[in-house]
Amino acid sequence: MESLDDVIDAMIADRVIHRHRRKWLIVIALVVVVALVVLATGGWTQKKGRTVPTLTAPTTVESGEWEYNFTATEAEIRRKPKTKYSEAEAKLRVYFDLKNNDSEEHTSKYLDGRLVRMVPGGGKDLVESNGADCRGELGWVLVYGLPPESCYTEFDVAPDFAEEVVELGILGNRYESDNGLLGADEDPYWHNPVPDAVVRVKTKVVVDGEDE
Amino acid sequence: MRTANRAVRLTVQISLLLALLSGSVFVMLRSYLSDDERIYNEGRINQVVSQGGPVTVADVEWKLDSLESYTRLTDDEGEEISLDAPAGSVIIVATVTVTPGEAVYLKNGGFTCNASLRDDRGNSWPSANAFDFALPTSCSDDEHPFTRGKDGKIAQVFVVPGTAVPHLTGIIVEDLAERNRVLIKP
Amino acid sequence: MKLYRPATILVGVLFILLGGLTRLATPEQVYDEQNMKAVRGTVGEVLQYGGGDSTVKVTRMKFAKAIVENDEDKPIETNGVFVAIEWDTVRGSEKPNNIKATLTADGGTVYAPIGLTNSGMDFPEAGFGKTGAVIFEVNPSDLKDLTLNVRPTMFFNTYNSYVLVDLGIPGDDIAQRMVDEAAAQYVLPRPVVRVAS
Repeated sequence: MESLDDVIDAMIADRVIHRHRRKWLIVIALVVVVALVVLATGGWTQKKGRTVPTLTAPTTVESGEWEYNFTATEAEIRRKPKTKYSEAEAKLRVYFDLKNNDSEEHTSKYLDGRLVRMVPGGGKDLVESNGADCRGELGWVLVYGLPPESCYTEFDVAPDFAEEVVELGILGNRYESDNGLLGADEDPYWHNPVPDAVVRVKTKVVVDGEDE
Repeated sequence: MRTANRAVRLTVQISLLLALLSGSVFVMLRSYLSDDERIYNEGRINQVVSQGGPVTVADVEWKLDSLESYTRLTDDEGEEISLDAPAGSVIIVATVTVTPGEAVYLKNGGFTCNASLRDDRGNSWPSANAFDFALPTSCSDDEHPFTRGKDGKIAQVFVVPGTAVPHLTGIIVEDLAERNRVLIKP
Repeated sequence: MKLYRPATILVGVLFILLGGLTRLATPEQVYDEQNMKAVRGTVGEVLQYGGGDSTVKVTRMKFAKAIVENDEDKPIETNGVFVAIEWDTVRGSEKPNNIKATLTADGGTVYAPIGLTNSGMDFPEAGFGKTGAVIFEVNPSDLKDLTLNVRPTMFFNTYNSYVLVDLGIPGDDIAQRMVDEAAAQYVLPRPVVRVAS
């Protein structure tokens, strides 16, 4: 003697699945085909190209907590020739005036080198800068409310680097909060860097006698 | 009959509730009270050895040979060794015999061994570097390599305030992996 | 099936509440400022740090237009003004947390120390005291109620407390006077360790 549960299960199976068997198979086949098509044509999300403005130095960029004023029309490729004790080196130095634009928290801070990156081209990975050297100190802490400081940043490049124009990606943090659902603190803070602009700068080669 | 049943059911429900409540409170507090890591970080000593030991911690055998105080240290040429020892401080030198066991990882005959100095008020001081001292002050000194199973003599130098000297109890050797802290009294 | 007896629902709700209370009560997970105890003081006062027996004291505050590090000859200049806070720390038996020092002012600005080697604030070994200086570059128009915040860098302790030192600038006129009377240069000293009494 079947139990009531078994009878109910059989009824549900009959009414939902068995009577509409063909429709179910068609639906499943359609989903599989659509998935294969999407896979074959390169994915679900549309590949966007560069969506940030490309500017040419001299120019000003506001990004996150900082305001950059690229004053010099040229960046320097500082070459250090090979000596008896060391290999030949080169650094790309870019000059700009830097202002602390943290209107949310008014906190003094130094420039995180990961916010300014060089685009070497050819699909290679972006090169991070070393932060901002202002008043002779790398990692100088800039105060909110004070005028911009003249600074420069440097990238390590190959000794024979000779690009005539370099592109710099400027990223900026956003003042937002974490998702409180997972238990995180919901107070907003500066994080989640997003690309804000690309700045193109011409270069000139400078032979470095002695580091300043 | 019905009321009796209801009373019994109620009693069972209440006692189940109490049991679950106390169970959850116990679980909630136990992980905090017996948090070994927290207790270790607060400076708990697991083991006290007197007469200088010997005692094995993290497969290294330690034996405290002497614990002496000095106002200054000199090297083998009679020159004073510079230590950051301000006026009113005393230099304590612990001479120790260290024997690395079979399981110790030796790199170029050296390994990390570290002792700190402890007093009865809960203060502890880390060992200081004393270059050119008669004995090596670390277990990774190129001129005095160790071999497993063989003794080696080292010194651990400490700079403490003069007022701490009567309170000193001994040296402490720690095994972070086992959260074990051993006090070796002279 | 009678799944929805009121007693069962009540028990379920009770355990959820208990879980919530546990999460709120566990000290390690609380980041809010309200749970930190502030130890307030003024210049010259010895203040307890971090709930243990270590202390912090601001000896004096100086304004300057440029900073010279001990041996370097080139002074570092500013478009604002430099504030040098000379401090005295004494270490007790408990190991105090590393210090994060900031200045806050009435206008909402938060100042961080400049990155020079000898500028900072920390503790010596047990039983010793240390003196040194920490330098901040500040905006002269936001100096009212300037306060030194001395916080532990790690908040995951059962006893959370921090030190607030009122630097004695109650009004904009006093702030302006201090900026006008700022020394041309401040020589940043190397920290000095001594035996605490």
